Amino acid sequence: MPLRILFLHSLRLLMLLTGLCAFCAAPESLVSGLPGPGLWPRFTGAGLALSALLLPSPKGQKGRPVPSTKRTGRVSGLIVSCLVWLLLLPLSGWIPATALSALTACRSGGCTWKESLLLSLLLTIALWLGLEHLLRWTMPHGMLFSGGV
Amino acid sequence: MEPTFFDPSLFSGVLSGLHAVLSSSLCLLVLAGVFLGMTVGVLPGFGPPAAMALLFPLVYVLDPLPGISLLAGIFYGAKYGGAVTSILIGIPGEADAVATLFEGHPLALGGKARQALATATLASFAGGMSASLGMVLLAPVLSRVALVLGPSGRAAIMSGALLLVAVTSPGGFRRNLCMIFLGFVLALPGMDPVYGSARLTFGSWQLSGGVELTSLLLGFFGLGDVLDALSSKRVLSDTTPAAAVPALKKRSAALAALRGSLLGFAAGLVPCGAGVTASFASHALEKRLSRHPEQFGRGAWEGLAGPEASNNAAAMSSFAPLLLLGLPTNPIMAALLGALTIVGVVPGPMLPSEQPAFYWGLIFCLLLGNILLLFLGLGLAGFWAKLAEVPFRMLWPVIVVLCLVGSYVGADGLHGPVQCVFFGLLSLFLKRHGCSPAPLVLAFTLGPRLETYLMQVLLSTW
Amino acid sequence: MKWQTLHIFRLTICLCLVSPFIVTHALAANGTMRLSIAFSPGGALDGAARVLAGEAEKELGVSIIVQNSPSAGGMTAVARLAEAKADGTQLAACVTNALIFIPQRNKAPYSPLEDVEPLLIFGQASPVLVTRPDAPWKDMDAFLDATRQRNGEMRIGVPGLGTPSHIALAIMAANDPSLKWRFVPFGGPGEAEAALLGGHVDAAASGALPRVKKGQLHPLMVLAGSGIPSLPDVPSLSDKGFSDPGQGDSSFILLAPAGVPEDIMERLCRAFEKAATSDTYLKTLENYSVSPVLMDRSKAKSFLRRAWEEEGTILKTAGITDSPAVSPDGEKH
Repeated sequence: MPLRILFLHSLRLLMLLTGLCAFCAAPESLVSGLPGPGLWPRFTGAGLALSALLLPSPKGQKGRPVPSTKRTGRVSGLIVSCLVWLLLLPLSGWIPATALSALTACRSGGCTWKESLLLSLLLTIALWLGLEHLLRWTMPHGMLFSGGV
Repeated sequence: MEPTFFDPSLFSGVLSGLHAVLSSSLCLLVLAGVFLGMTVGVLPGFGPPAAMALLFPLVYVLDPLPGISLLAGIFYGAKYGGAVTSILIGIPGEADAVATLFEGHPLALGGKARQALATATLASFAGGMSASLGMVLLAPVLSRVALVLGPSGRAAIMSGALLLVAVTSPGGFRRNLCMIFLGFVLALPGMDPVYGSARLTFGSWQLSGGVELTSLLLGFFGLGDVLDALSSKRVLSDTTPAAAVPALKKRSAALAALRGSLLGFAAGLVPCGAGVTASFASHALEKRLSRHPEQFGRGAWEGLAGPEASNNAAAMSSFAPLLLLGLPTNPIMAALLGALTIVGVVPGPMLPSEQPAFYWGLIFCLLLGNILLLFLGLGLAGFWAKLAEVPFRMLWPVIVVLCLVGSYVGADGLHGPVQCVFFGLLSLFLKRHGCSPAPLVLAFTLGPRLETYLMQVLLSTW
Repeated sequence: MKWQTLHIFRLTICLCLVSPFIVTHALAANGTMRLSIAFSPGGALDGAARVLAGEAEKELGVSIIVQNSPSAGGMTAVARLAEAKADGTQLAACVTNALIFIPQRNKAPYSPLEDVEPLLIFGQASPVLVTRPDAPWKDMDAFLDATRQRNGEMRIGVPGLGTPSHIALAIMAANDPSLKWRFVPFGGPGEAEAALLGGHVDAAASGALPRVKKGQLHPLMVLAGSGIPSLPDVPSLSDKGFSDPGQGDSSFILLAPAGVPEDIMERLCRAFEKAATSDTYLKTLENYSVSPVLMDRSKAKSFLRRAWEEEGTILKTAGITDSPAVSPDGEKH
């Protein structure tokens, strides 16, 4: 029961917490008698906390929609592909990370193997051409390939 | 000698400007700039400032007018590219393309991608042309508005826009007010704009750059939308029925574009977050004035035409404070100010009479860019629209990867994508509780400026 | 659209998209170096560093790719440099602010005196204190008198509280009890000048030298130790007997990662020093309010060390902090 209330008011609580956090973590509001760097954070933190309290109460719960396995699979597929990218980037550099992450996302989204491989390949090549050759932007090459491309 | 309202001597240089523009190499340069800008604008996270920085070396090599015109062409092209991604895949290239996606993306999902792109192009063209006219006739007088309107005036304009958005965005005033404060709070971490000291960084040096705008935009509108689509209950057919989308009424869309142009033109003259403020305000205004406000959010054509016209008009009119006062109103203008310094053009109220070939040449180059974009936009609309027919299961992985890479580039570090994923999840959470992202994004963009103006007012009267 | 025209259209687009590749590849010569500028495009550091790199390219015979990484006030650029390979192909240009003021006030992931090695100092940002052309005070002494009469009502626009121009004026006021100013911070370029011309402040620290030379703004004093060659009649801080406390934060410095082999460092230093004395470079500086201060490697190193030690005390005297963030003996948090 308390868990349900917590969930019901989750937005309000989150906003309240964030506002109070900003208020308390702010630096001093006055420096040598003049307005300081903490003035605006205190104002906005307080404003957030107050407006969180004024939020309209959530409507009566219609009952959480039962998540279908397909939808959960897709969402976790997205999260997994993001994690793959974030974790592989410092290790292997951005090209393997991008390719693998795109592959994971495609497969979890329901594409066939042929479609997934083709799409990740095309995407990686397009980004490689655009970023490294056209725009000359330095992207990380990872610890394993620190010889540089 | 101060320029008067309608001083004929200001127009003495028009012919020399026209002559300079009609040379063929200049036209090609502007065209090249527009194409490059478009390529850059379509890549989310990689904004015009980065592209312009890459082409800065060319400014040293070329003569003043061609060099600056190239940069201005990139600027325009990037705006168009940003609108394309906003409408087609719902990822805003930069902050002033956000208001376009509120109506543009639902239209594309409803199968009207081609018409949406064409409308956006026409509205942008109208905005650009009317702003150019205004620039030519009224700029010297109106640029002084930027001088007279001090910090308190600018803060008032921004607060007005925020209030308008809070009242008209879906979700109700109380939720929107909360979102506005959340936007302010999210903009807090990082370095204080006045003292330069770090605050709310919790010991992380990467946060001393603050929450990245790119990560916020890509997380909220890119990842967030994908998460929402993947986890929502509605049947994931690859297109929604076209009957759900309202029909285009040309006259009301044209009127919306006109209103948007006026709003954008006025907003661009003053440093108040021009393009962003104007486009959000235009969207909110259109919703308020519309006889069918329930269409907004599902593909209202006025809500697409207004913001597109206003952000182009604002882009055009922000050249006025830049050229006539040396006052850049956004980071891209600041980069252009640097380019002006390099080529030896000194901004000031006497620029039209002292360097007429440059001043009028630039205005004509911008007009040329505008016309080029009209043809490109209308011609390419069909081509881009074909891309929108890609099935969703193949589109969303591309969006996710673009968001991750784009936020890395935008933030210049791994903290960018991390923030992006966080904002994607936050966006899902907020949507499930009925909160709209518009007030949050506007407040986030305007927060630091609002704080600076507040501190300026306080420090000058303490 | 008929399908033939559509195909031609698409072909043209492809050609246009391919041409930039050809252009950028043509620009790359044999061997490349990367210079990272810790500032957004368009500012004085950006302009000066790009021209410096352009001149040094001729000396070194390699092309230098210049990029901007302005995030975190320059800390990102320096942090990247500190982690980069120490082989002389990666350099960074920043304002000493990123090495002195910012790491003292924030937790930086590098040790400014140990992780990076200065090559040379190639300029000092010297903002000019300006007023409106129609103001009643025509020089610095008249301005100071007017300040005393107004008794605290005079407003000066500065780029931010804690910036070199602010500190210079604040220390002036701290040493003379009859002087009192209100400092109003203006972040971006052009903002302070616009506020001045609009009447919101009475004087401003400005870097827009061309506008001063055109007469749009009237110069009172150069807020740095050495004057600006193109404004010979405008006194500098040292001419008037004031100290230059901001020098530690406003110098333009070229950095390499620590540990680059000596012979490479020597070659680079020689090339860049030659570039910094070239006519093109000095002419560029005339567009920006930058004094052509030049310090070689050893002088730059000792300068940095001294500036680090003095920073805390300076900030306290100017009233920016109530207590220094770092103890004077250089202990970092």
